[in-house]
Amino acid sequence: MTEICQRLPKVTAETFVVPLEEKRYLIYAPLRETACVGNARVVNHLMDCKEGSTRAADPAYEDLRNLFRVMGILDARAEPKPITRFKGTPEPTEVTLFLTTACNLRCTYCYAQAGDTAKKFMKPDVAFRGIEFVARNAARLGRDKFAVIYHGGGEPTVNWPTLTESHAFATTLAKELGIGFSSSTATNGVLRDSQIDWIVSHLNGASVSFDGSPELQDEHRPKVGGGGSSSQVIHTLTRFQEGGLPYGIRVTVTADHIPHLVESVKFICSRFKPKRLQVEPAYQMGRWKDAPSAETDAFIDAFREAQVAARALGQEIYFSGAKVGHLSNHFCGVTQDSFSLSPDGGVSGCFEVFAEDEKDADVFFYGHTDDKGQFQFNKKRLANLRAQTVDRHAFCSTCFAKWNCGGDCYNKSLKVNGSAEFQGSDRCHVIRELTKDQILERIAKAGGLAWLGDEESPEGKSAGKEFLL
Amino acid sequence: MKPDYQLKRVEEDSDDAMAEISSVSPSAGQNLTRRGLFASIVTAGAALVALTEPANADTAAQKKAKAKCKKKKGYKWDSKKKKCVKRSSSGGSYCSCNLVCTCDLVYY
Ligand code: SF4
Repeated sequence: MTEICQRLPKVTAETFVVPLEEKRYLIYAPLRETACVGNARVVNHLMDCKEGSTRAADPAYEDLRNLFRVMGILDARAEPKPITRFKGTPEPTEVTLFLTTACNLRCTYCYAQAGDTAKKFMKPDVAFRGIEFVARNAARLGRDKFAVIYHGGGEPTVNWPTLTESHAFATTLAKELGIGFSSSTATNGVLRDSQIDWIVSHLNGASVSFDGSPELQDEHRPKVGGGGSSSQVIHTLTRFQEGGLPYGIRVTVTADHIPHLVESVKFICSRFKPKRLQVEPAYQMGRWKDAPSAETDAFIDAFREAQVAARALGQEIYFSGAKVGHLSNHFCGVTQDSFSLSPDGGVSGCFEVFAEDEKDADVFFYGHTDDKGQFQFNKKRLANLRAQTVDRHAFCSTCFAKWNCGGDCYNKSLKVNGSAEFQGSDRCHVIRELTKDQILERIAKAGGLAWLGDEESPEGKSAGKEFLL
Repeated sequence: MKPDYQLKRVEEDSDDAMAEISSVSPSAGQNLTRRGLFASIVTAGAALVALTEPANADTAAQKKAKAKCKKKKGYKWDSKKKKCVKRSSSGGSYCSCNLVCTCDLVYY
């Protein structure tokens, strides 16, 4: 009896089964980064092993069990989970500065409703405080650099004086502390030539919102005084490219854009070589709250077609939720003490919640500066944000995409469901379909039968994997 | 609705008498409909045995480089390229807002 028990194989990986077409099942062990496609008998044999049934030792299935052993699904060492959790007082080494809520465009789908809300501008001393805090943290922690990111709520370059002064301040401070410093900005790309010159010569990167097709760009991203923005953004991208600035392009897809997505992606890929080309369905937030959803099957189909078109032109498109090859317990920095400063100096954990008078500000704003200019943190709010990791979302516990998706956007779930408990959204369907594509692609690329991971054997891989804690 | 993809028993029919691993066509990850892409079926047997054998074993020098790489913090061994590559961070931010994402340039 003992001998038989010892011989029975053991399931040693978190394994998911995803039904496919033609009565096939995708068998996926995310933490081993292995997968294959089999029929019902394959799945059920794995269940025999899990349940310790005597069929688990049937010699007819030995080859199959050997495959599962190579995949790390049977008889392998325990798999470590990619869990990062922050504790104690935040010690960020990167600051995101929400320089203004004002904007020179009036995008139809703006999540921030920039231009419709009260105009706020960050004063240089607020930026300096944030920069000094992260720079000194980086020096104390022995990091080789700190980072400053200029970001949303409006167009950061509209507050040009604070942008340039804070950059000069950071440069001087980095020299004084003897550490490096990197900086980048998000921008809508409607810039003066003198601004483009400055960005190319001072920043390490930029991320430009550009929807591709000039007609759609002009329709959805008009200038504040009227008229399209496409020609100016194309000019900016061309100058960034000529200047050798690493830049990314973010395409926002509204429901009416879906039929034209391939055309948009072709337009971009045939003219520009962004470091990353990100394609996202528009969020139904802000000005786009009541618009038709783009988180649909039509988007998934268009994304797949656009991916084929992008690859034909030597590029790749990305969607933020589908990240096979990246294992994590979080989608974004909101659980990781992400440190963003509002124009008034409040500390937000979310790039989308940029002012204290916004909805859900009481969830995402977790710090402020006191009279002495010191940052003070609200422990209760911080603890809630830190707890929003996928391993703590009951809703995600049985989703095959969880360690790649990381639990998606907490702000989005809050806005859609109005409940503090994470409950997913329509994006989940998009995430799962595109994640499934990436896994199948990995299997196909590995010869068609099984994806056995990108680096070492599953055993070695698990043993060697380190995660930051 | 809460998704459920846990490993559990699935219904078998007369086509499922044998355990079969299906071959995945290269276009399965990008096709609009996957019908016909799992057509080539390999019965558990020789093809699987081949799959479980080390195909592209490392040379002694590569083994040494791999061992060194495993000790190097922040790096991982890429067995396809046979070299030590920087590991992407599991921390950092990732924004999906309707503005734009600077994060990958900074964090990834
Ligand atoms: S349920 Fe949704 S948010 Fe959770 S892991 Fe799956 S796709 Fe991501």
